[in-house]
Amino acid sequence: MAVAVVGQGPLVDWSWIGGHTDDIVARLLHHVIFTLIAVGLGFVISLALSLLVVRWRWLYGVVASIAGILYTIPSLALFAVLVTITGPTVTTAEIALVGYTLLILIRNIVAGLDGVPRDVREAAVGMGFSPRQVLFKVDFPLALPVIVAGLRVATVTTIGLVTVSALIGMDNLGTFITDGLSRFFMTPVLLGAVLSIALAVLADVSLLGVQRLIAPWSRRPAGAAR
Amino acid sequence: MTLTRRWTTVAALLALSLALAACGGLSSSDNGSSSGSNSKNVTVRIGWVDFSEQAILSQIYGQALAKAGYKVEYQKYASRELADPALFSGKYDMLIEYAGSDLTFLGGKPTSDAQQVLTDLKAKLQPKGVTALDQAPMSDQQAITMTQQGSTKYSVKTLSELAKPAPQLVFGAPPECKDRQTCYKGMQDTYGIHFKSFKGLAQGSLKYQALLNNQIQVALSFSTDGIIAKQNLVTLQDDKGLFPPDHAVPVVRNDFLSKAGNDFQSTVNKVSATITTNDITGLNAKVDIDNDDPDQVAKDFASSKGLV
Amino acid sequence: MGGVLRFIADNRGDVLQRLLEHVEISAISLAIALLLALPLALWLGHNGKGGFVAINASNVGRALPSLALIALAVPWGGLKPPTVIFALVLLGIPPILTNTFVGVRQVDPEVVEAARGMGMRSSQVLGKVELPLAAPVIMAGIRTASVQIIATATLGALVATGGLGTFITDGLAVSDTASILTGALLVAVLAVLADAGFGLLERATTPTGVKLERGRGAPGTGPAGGPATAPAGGPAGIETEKERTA
Repeated sequence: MAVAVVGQGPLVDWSWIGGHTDDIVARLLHHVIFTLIAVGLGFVISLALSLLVVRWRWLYGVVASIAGILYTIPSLALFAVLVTITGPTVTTAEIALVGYTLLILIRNIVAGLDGVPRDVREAAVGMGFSPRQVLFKVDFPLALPVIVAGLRVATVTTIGLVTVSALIGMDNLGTFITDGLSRFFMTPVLLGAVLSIALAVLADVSLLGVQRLIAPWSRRPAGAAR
Repeated sequence: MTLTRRWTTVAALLALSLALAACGGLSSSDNGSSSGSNSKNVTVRIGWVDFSEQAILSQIYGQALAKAGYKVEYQKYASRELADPALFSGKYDMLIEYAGSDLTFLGGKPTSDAQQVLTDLKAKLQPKGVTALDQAPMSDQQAITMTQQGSTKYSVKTLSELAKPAPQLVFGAPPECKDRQTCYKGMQDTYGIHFKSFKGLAQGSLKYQALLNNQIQVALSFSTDGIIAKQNLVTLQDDKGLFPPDHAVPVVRNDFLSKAGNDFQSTVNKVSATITTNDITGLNAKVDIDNDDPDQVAKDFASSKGLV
Repeated sequence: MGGVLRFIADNRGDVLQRLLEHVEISAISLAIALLLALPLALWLGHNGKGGFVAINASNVGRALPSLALIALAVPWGGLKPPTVIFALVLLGIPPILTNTFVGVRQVDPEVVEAARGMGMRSSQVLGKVELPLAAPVIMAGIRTASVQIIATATLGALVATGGLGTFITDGLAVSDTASILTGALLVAVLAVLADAGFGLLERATTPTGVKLERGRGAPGTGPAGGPATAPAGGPAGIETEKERTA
């Protein structure tokens, strides 16, 4: 078994945490910003692509394939490759982070729009709605729960991936982890881990709340009877 | 929430994020600040390589410069291979280098005469538009270390003696060491040392952890690592003189020097004169073993020497 | 691209060794995760117990930063493969647990009733009815876990356990683009192959009747499986939602 001797200190050095509150606040804020930009941009792009896909079905295969492959690439690999092109900058990290949100968001937006019952749409058309009105007043509202579910997954996933971007020099909660690892000092590692998990849980629960608020009827998973 | 309001919220959040992001600080370059009365309007961008000693040194110089009225910014780099080119291309203004190793990196052949090394280094830096200021007394050379048990078990006290048992041993060092003439490559050429395997480990406690747990038997260290004394490690003697004298030396861009004014050079040289090998070894120990912060350690040292 | 090929040619031995290390550590971790999660989830699903935990397992798993898990395991496991395997197993369990549980629960209760009515014992119901019907969803979970594990194994390079990630981290340290691209390309290919491979298994285990039903009106399936494998969102986006924490 490993015997830790070098520079380890107690597992949780509270005075260290107390002395680094500005770092904690700053990195927490950065982490949130990174996430918001990625999910925000990812959502806008996914929305646009989804609308195209719904209109021209054959596009779905192509779009899903590309998004799928992007999603499957391990994040360190994607970050590193982009670094060789655009350098270790925020842009680089965000390109990768946005890329990872696409598959989840596109799949959910398309599934959500597809899930709108035919008869409701037909009724709207019958009432004289233009195609645009149908989209905005019928399709989207009804698709919202599924879309928000996708946003939930995308957000939590992104929060985890932002930590990895610390490896290419981005300052966020992951920086506590990399610093702690190289100094063999567990307190910052624990700090970074606990805070990023807490952030993810907070985001997940908040969006779940939004999801339930919008569509309380969608609570039970279809088919999970018994 | 209606759809329009939702869109507006998304748009607002995005705008806010972009605005905040534009304020900067999302990547790991921290900013120092200048102090009061003799505030000049010059910003010094100091580069440093990601290990404790560099963190401490850049802070000592940076804080002294801030006291002298300069604005100070810091940029972190993973290794010399990344830091030097960035300096040459003007991404920042000053780096605390190590004379012998940098000379080798730039294609020179250092001798064991420290003064000669500095002269040769200046010559190599000239065409890059960079110059070297005064060397500090401190020298941080590469050191090959083993545990007491390891050294006894394989009867190794010098690097020449290491060649024989090397094929049974695992060597741990930062990844950039593998191909460096001042490091593993040099060890292979000069001493005929070929290890069983090479493990790339970042400089610092993690590597020592591996050494103490016998996951690696030989480690690349810096002669100023406080851990060597604390853990009673054995530094193998460099009997053929592979590792050059490595005094810390600030290297600065010429175009920056001309706009920085006389104060800059004299401040930097004043700092350099105060740092001895013993000093820096003690400071390293505070950061690596006691987990103190480099900026605090630097501040205390600088105060004690009257630099801030 | 030429640089990458040259790099691989020059470092044939290393490339092969690290590829094997990566596959080995991933395979072992997946096996252990399967061993721990599959039987448990089958039992829970069959008996309708532990739903809350099982369903939320993948939400929790998704929130765990893999970098942190590996770093935290180091003081106890040292800089050796078991440390990384521990973290990989932890990350691989949630998708297998959740998908297996949900897969079994989603089997049509009438079919289960019919089976019981025919006199099948509980274990037979599980083995002959529920398992085959849940197979595609279970496979999707294993697929997710395997990609997750392969991706996270890349980070093992940070704690000197080898694998393809070392080409990336070493390359980043000295700005060796060929090394970075080689590591990135190989690990991406490995992940995509695993995804495609398990994707095929997923399709192979889908009973023909179910395949036909899904084919009607759903957007096509890409290598990522598309919503045809179940509405991706769903009320919680759990069933076939892939996870990515590394």
